[in-house]
Amino acid sequence: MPDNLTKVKILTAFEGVPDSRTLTCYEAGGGYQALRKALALPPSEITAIVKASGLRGRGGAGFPTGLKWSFVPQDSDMPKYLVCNNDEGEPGTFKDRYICELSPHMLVEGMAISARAFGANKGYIYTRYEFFEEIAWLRTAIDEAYAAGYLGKNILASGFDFDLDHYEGAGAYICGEETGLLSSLEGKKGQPKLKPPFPAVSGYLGCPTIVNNTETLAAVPWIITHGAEAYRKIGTEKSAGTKLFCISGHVQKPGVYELPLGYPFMKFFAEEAGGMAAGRELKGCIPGGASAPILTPAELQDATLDYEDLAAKGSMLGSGAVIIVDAEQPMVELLKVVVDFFHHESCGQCTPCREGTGWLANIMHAYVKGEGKESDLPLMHNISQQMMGRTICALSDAAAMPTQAIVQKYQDELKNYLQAKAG
Amino acid sequence: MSIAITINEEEFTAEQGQTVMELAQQHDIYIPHFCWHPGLSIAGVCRFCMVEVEGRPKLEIACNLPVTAGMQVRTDSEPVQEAHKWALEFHLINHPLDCPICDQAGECGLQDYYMQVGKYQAQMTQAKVLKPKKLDVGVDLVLDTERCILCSRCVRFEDEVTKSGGLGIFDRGDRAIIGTYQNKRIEHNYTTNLVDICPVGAFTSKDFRFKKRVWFTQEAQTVCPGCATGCAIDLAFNADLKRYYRIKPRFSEVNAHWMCNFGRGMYMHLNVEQRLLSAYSAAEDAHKPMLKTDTAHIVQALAEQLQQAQQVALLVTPQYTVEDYRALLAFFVGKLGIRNVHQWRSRQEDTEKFDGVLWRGDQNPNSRGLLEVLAEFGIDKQQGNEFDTLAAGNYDLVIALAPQVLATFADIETDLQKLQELPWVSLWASAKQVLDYRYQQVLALTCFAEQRGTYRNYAGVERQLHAATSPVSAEIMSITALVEKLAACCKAQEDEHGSS
Amino acid sequence: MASSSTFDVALQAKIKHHLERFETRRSAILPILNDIHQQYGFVSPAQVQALEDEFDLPRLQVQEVISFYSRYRQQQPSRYHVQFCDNIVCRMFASQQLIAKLKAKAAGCAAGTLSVEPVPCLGVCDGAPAMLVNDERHLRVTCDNLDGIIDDYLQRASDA
Repeated sequence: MPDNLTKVKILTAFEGVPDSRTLTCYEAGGGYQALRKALALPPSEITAIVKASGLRGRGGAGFPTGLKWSFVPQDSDMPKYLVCNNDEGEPGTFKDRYICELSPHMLVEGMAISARAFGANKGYIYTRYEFFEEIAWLRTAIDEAYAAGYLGKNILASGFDFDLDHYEGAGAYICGEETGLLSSLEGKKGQPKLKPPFPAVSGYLGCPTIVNNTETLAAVPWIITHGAEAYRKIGTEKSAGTKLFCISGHVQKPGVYELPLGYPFMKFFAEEAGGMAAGRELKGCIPGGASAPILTPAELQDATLDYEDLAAKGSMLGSGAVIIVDAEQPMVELLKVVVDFFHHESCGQCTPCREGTGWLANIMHAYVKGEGKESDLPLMHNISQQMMGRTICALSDAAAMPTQAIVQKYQDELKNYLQAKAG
Repeated sequence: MSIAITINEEEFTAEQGQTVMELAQQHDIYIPHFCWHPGLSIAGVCRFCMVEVEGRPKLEIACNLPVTAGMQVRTDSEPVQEAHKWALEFHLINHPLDCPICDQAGECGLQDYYMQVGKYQAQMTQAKVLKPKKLDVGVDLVLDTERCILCSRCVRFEDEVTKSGGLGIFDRGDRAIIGTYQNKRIEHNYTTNLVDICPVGAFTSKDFRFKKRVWFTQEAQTVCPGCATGCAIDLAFNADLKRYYRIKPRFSEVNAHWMCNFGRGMYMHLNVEQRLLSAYSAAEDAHKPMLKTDTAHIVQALAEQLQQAQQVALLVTPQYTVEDYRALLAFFVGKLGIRNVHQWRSRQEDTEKFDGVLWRGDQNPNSRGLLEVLAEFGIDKQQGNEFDTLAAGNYDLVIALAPQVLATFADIETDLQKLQELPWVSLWASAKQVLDYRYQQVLALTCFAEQRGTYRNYAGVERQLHAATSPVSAEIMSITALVEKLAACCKAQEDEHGSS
Repeated sequence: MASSSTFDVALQAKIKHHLERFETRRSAILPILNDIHQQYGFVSPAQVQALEDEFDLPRLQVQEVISFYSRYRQQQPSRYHVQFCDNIVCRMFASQQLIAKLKAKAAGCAAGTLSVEPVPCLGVCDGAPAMLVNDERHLRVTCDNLDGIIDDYLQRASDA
């Protein structure tokens, strides 16, 4: 493996370390040194480092993190907020859960540093409620950090104040969308907000707000400690650093793996995850969570795990949720689960998504029962086409893209299903 | 700062901060939309108002698209037309399509847009989502949640205009449903605006529904006579039947897009069964009902009484036009020198009262206008009720202009009662109800819907009335016309006396 | 207020804490509902009304939130409520059969003891198929171990 693709443990540095969640353990491993270092820097320098590191949002969209921070108006009198998106609802995704399990302090430290960068004095971690244990661990970490002076007023005598609170969701995938999350944090239905304005200018309660994914924020301490250059050296030119990949399905070793971006998919699949489980055969792979278009085994052969290559193949890196689909999985069933999910989770604001997700689900329900028609497939393609790029947030696209991919790539199987049902 | 942009290759000058939708509206460029409303915040949820912007990969919604210098917008390109067609289809897949029994038919956004940008073959063959129908959720409100397209206009109206927060959208996805908390009723004075702004038949008006298909009505642009605010209104009527059906607000600086429910009722007194259709005079037995009499005859009698009377007074309500007051005072004050002019107002009115939205305690549309015209004739008065001073005046002739809308006078029955105890009263009125009393004579007047003219509202702003129909009866006329007739009659008498 | 409140003293204290915890009172709606849920397993209409009457939280806003988020229920759930993941990965691991099995088991229990609800991804796909029994997570559920897991709970219920 070339240097840039050599495995480095950044987010998983504490893997295998006993009591890794405790402050003592985290500090013993060098924890909170990055915060000390950052507090000695001018805030703009922190942003500059993160910008230079090439760190991109790990929640799915891959937007450059430092650039996002730089959109916060510095001359605003309004309070600024940093919100951690720990809602992790994208089916197939369980990487942020792993950070909570391994090193909640890494997230807390990352948040304190990031908040300092653009002048936020208040932060929230928003976690899906089903993570009962993880929420408890995060709360403990926050309490410990307060007690040790890493949070609160005048952190480490730097004059910087940063309060951090935890907010628990209540079961809505859409709250993983950054503005849906902010609506939820405001005590409302988790409906995404119309953009412009973007949250960096007008977010939580109309104040400048940065929403970053857990994994993104947890990478910040390492970048501050080791410098932008060190991070940049990992991964590819456009996709710098490491990423957590969570692989699931009928593979030998499902789980979370930290790999440099650009890592060859097949190598990851075969060597890290151990390949298919006994007696199973690879039929396809959803490389970035339920909203990512499926890739066929042929497409996977030379795929690399980075934003650019997967986009070039018509899919996306997304949250890094690699769902392996095996030959026993009927595609008609998979498609039905996908459209049912988005139908269940559409917030209902925008017409194309509210109606389109229901329409797709209706078609699939009939189809599975053998009551479909071959013309349903082009119709589903067309409905999906009109759901894309038409709504406030990307949930509509998230429903449409995988639908189109399955309909197109597995159309023979879908047609055969219908015939078999009829016969 | 102004910005040059093009829409469909035509150049326009826009203001910084303006949206493409606002600019398009200003220049009558057609962009279909449901959720956008000029009087409400931007929701951007119906996703109907898609336009194409040169150089941008995706279509954009015009309602939330700020103009930028050099922007080139297309509202008619093929992708836009395709998007509009689909946007409509998405809106309709769960709509019940019950137009034949829906009162919104004829003024429904879904119907209109289907003809304008739709005309597709429906592709949805599965069952529709069913939701509650025919809910009584407040004053004048019937809610059909199945017809609702979830544009959220009504929710925003409740939050932003009346700030009563009575409506919400519950659940999510295509199960989302509009409603009040547990179907509790919304009780404020502005509920019918929800019917107006609902672009479909989800909210219909209890008062109007099933009375008349809208294509059998016409609309006159006039002014609400219900209070001193003077909201601009569209008065719906059928000219052939000379019947009035409803009042809706029309945009003006005074009332923006809204009006109160009280004002909406200002059509009821216009219909023929409520109206005084001809002149009447006292029966020989004064306790018996008055007798229908030829107008010319009555005017003649009035002219004679005018000549004989020693003490003449005018009793004037602030519910007529500036023009009528001028004609009236020009004759009685200017020509005859009568200076006993009394204002007749409601006893219990609180003219300072204002509900913070539009409705005012002064339920006379022309209080300012009356005082101004009086001043023109050298009679300086403050707003006030001078009904009681009338009785003390020992007048042997009182010419009284009854309120057009009797209901706006809290003590109207007592007033009319007291009035009939005076020696000689010529009551000018438009409501049939005055015939329950006994006066020397009653003259029949036109209503605000049958005439042109001007009110001056509480702030002195001129409000122009426009006639909707011709008078419901040939025997009724405006104050101006009556005064003219009277003046002619008096002149004839003078001439007669002069020549004899 | 304390004596006549719909909520017990501890819950009242939590509600007050949440109302003061955020920049706006409205932000407290989810934390308050979560606490009510933690205690009762559901939010009753009477409690919604009480939040308006006692704490000035508009019932319409509260109801909108309750209706939107899938966690919130307005009826008392069974003593053991199973949220079984029925999304892509768990479906590959026979979630449907397991849910059917659970439903059959629930039907055989006394009313109000056991219920099952298929839910979207629980975020533990590496342990598929997964379920939550109340707030306890169980991974790699199989037809073989399902009975044992549930019977433990039922045993606890009958011991109690």
